[in-house]
Amino acid sequence: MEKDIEIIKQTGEDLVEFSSEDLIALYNNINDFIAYLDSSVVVDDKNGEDEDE
Amino acid sequence: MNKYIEIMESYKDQLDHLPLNVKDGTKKMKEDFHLNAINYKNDTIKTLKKDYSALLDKIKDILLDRKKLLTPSKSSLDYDHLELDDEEIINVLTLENKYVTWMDKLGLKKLLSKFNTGVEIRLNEINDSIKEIISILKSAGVVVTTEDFKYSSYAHQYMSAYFGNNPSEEELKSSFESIYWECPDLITHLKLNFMTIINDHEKELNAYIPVLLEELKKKIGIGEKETKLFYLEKLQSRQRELDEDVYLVASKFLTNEAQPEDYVLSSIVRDNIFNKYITGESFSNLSDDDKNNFYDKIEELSHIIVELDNYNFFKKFINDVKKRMEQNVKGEPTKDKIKVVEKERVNVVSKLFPQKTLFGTKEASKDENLFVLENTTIKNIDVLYDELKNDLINSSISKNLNEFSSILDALMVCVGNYDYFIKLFDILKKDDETLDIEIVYSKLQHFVFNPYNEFVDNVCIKDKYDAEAVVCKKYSLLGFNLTKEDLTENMETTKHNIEFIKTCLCFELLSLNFEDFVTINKIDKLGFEA
Repeated sequence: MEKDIEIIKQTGEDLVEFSSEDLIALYNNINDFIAYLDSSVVVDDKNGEDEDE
Repeated sequence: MNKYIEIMESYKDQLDHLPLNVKDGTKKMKEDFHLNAINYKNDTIKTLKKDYSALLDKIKDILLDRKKLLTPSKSSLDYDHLELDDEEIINVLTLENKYVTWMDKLGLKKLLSKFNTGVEIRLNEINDSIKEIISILKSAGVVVTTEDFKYSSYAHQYMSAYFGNNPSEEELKSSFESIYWECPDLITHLKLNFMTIINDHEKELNAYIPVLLEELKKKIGIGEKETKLFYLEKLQSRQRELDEDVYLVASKFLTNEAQPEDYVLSSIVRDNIFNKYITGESFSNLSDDDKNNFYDKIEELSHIIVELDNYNFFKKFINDVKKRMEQNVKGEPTKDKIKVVEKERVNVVSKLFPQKTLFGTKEASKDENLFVLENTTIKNIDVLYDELKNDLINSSISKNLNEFSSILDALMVCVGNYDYFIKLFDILKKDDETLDIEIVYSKLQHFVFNPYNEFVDNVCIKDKYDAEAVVCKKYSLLGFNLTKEDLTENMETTKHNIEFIKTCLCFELLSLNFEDFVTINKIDKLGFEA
């Protein structure tokens, strides 16, 4: 399988230059993103079913 | 910030479109692909979650640091001490006031009121009052012993225990209880005994007043200055201290009592509040001089509102004084009646103590009828003293007040005679059972001696006036838009608006930014645990 998602390492060094307003907005965006990630976790139940067949 | 959002959007897009199944190949190949794809997706999510959680922590740290920098540190002012100063200055003003009776200057009537049987009595309060009265007498050079407590046989019995061998509270309680079952009017006997001692030593106690006054003035450091002016300067300097205390000025935004968004320059709420009191133009168009003038008027108005609030609270007191002025009762006829009954009491009571005669000491009578007579006579005297209180109130009003007297003069008479205050308090209590006599008396003292009083000091008690209309008229003459409704049904809004404008002025003078508090609130809403 082709591993096609490139993880960009973000150190957040530039965050100190952000305004508080932007930081608060970004904080909320990241929280939403983490919620999205949690909901995107795949639970493999198909494999087990196939084995039974 | 867009860079961060774009990257997250890109991750979302890639994760959403990551193929988890393949169409071609054997079943085994398809299952392997599916399993690998799931593992890959979940591993990627795990890595991203770790990275972004670390970013969240970083943002949290930066925001908490900024909040710390923006939040003013707690004040170091000692407010309890400032309040204590007030009480002492009010004591000086009381001692200097011509309307205050000599007994009230020494706080004796208030102490004696603890013996009033109409109110709930606590023995420890009675004993505290006894201790305090004896201490005041001693300060005036009057040392009392058991011998001074021969107003009745029961009063003598209790005070003998009191002056005994340093009795404990429990011992006094048991002594009180044993006498009380014989004579439930013991407290009245004690009260009248103390009243007699106090009246017998009027000269010494009166001479002590200027001594006490000087002591207090020296302690507070009033010096040669007029006390009212000293008090005014003290209040003004305290207000400056409070207005310059960043934490205090801003605390309402830290406790969510007020929303800083409403206070920023661009806020419509702010515009509406400022423009409400301006005639014609908007506040922002005013010259700097006019703005300063506006702020001065707001400061004055805040004092007048306190005065109006107090005036309305004590309106029934003023009405009672007016009513008594109209009745114009003079003289103290009950005094003579008391003299007659007092003679009867002395006659009865003397038989209940051992008497020295030419032929030796005659033993105290144990005739039960005499004890009953003693108590009945004292109860009659107590009723007469209550009538005398009323005579004295009326005579103080007719002596001190006339058609030119101000509302403040009338209120001074109320504060200057605690017996009168108790009667007036009972009128207020009919409307509000929860009122506390000590709190209301202190409120009256603070009102009467408030150096910012203007209206009550300038309006005659006999004039027909509408307090709110008088204040509005004055302000409209000064070009200030204030309606009668602002001071009546909309009073709470007016108080809020004045506080609002004063906060804006303080922020300006302290070079503070409301925007900083908006930020603090927004950081707080993120719900970080410090």
